[in-house]
Amino acid sequence: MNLDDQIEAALRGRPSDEPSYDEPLTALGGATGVEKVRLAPRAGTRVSRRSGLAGLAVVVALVAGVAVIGPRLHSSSTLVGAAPQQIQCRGWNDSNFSPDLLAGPGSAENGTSEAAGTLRQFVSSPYGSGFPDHGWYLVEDTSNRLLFVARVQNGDAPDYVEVELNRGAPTGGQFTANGWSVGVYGSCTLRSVPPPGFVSALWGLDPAFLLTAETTELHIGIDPETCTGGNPIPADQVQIGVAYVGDRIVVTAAARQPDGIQTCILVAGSSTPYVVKLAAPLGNRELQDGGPWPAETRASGGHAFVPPSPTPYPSNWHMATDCTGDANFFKMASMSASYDVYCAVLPAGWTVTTGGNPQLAATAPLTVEYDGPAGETLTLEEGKFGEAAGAEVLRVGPEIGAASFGDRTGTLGGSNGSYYVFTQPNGGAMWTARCTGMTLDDFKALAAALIVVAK
Amino acid sequence: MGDSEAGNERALQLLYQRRSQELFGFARRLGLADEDASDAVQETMLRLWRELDSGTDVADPDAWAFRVLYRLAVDNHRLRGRLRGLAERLRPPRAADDRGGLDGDPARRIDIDAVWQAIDRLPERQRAVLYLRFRADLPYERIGIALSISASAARGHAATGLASLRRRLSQEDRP
Repeated sequence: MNLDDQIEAALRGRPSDEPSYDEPLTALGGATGVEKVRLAPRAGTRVSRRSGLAGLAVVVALVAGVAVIGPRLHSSSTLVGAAPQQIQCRGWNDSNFSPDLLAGPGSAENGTSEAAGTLRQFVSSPYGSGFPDHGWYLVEDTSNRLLFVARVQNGDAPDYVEVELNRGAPTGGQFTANGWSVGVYGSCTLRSVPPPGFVSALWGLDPAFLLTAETTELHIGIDPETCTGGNPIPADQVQIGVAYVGDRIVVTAAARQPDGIQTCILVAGSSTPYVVKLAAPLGNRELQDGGPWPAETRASGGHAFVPPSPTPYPSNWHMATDCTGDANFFKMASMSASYDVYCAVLPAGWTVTTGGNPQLAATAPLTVEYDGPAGETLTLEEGKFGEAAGAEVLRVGPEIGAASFGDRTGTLGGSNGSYYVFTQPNGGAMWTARCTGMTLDDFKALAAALIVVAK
Repeated sequence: MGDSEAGNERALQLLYQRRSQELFGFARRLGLADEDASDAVQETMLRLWRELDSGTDVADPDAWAFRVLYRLAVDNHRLRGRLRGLAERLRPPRAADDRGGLDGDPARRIDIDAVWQAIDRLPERQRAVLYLRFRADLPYERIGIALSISASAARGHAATGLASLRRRLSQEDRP
């Protein structure tokens, strides 16, 4: 048997390190009521998805720092000053560091040490493809372990990446040079350090409650950054820290990790409703979520904060009333989403059959389904599901070429009346359309006529 | 439960029985840790269930499932898990009775593991193509569907990957 035959024979065998997979199929039972599958903890601006908050736990908490959340207390007090904040790459609990280390331009890659040399070699190697070659910060420096972090521009939002170096020979497979081996590397979502046993959580204001300068109770929905099986974390498993720092109120949430193995599904209304009492009316102070770093503004000047769009008035923005279907739905979805929400302009006889909760567009992809008069269907899926979740809208079928998705250009595919078009991700969002029972030309025409709903 | 729904569920069960090990192995080979790989397989099946349940005619469920799984596995947010998975695979081998899929021939075991360890050092796309071609036994046309590339591109990745394997394994055999 020659080498090629041996390789092919080996490739048909199961390697010894691959365990037997005997997990039962749980997908079917979990499908009921599921609106979207969540791949990874959600991030970004949050808007609570609760319309009613009956039976809430009312908690006021005091912490000894902006971000490090202390034991949950049931009394109200005003925090003066703040302990030094510690941040970490989310989920990487071994490395906490001061955000002060990220001040100014990074240049750790220019060092003369062997570690700096290893970093340079790594980012220029195929392993480090996509990592920046400059702008690195050294945020942990021990004799046996280093952690480098660099800022990258990912769409409109800044993001970070990390590279860990460990002293000594690798356990196998990792990039190694100069006596250092690369350990963990990849994206780094900076979060305030949660208390031991807790995971970070983000929160959003409940739009059902009016926020004014006189507000002393914040009605929020809390989303832990962990899989919860689609269930809200019980309120008594949540800790809230409130820090009053100058003209800012920084509210930081954390939640206990649920016991057992949890599936990663996102169900409408899975945020944990919470009421946070403030020591004094909100006034004109900025209200910030201290979970992300830097803290994200949720309200300013007594009004809920809507992040500005990087392209506030693109040429194809249209009034929601131009959309086929419920204009209020599209308006709310557009206002909730940080990305462009597209809707279809369809001939008479078409109806919107499914809309879901438009406010979900803040944190989950938006799905809109249309039914045509002759049984045709047109489905739009758009939003921040990134490359991975985008797979769920792709259809088996040959790629035909390019086609318009409104003012964007996407990949066209499909056959026999079922066609799809999807765009490349942009700023973390992507847009897809698919149809059944339509000719290719009709589908292309409808996809090209999609419009952006003005925010 | 309607006939269509029952049929979909049956089709899904059959696919799962036939392909779950390979789907799991594929996710691991792309770097996911065991737990993440299991999650990804379950998630893939959930998506397929929803797809079928919505009335979509999925012509090639195998390729569809590998395609979804591939995209799940290469998601950037999984980089950390990928590294963890790599580290797990590089741990010392477990006891022989905990190993699966081997025929008890020590020489063959060494060959298989050596080849798969070499696979782990290939670029991701080559790794995926070789896994799907040989371990999952998909023809290049269906690999193209699974990875969103053309059949000829899949064939090219396989050829390049095999050449790299030949080179590396030949070098390792040298005294």
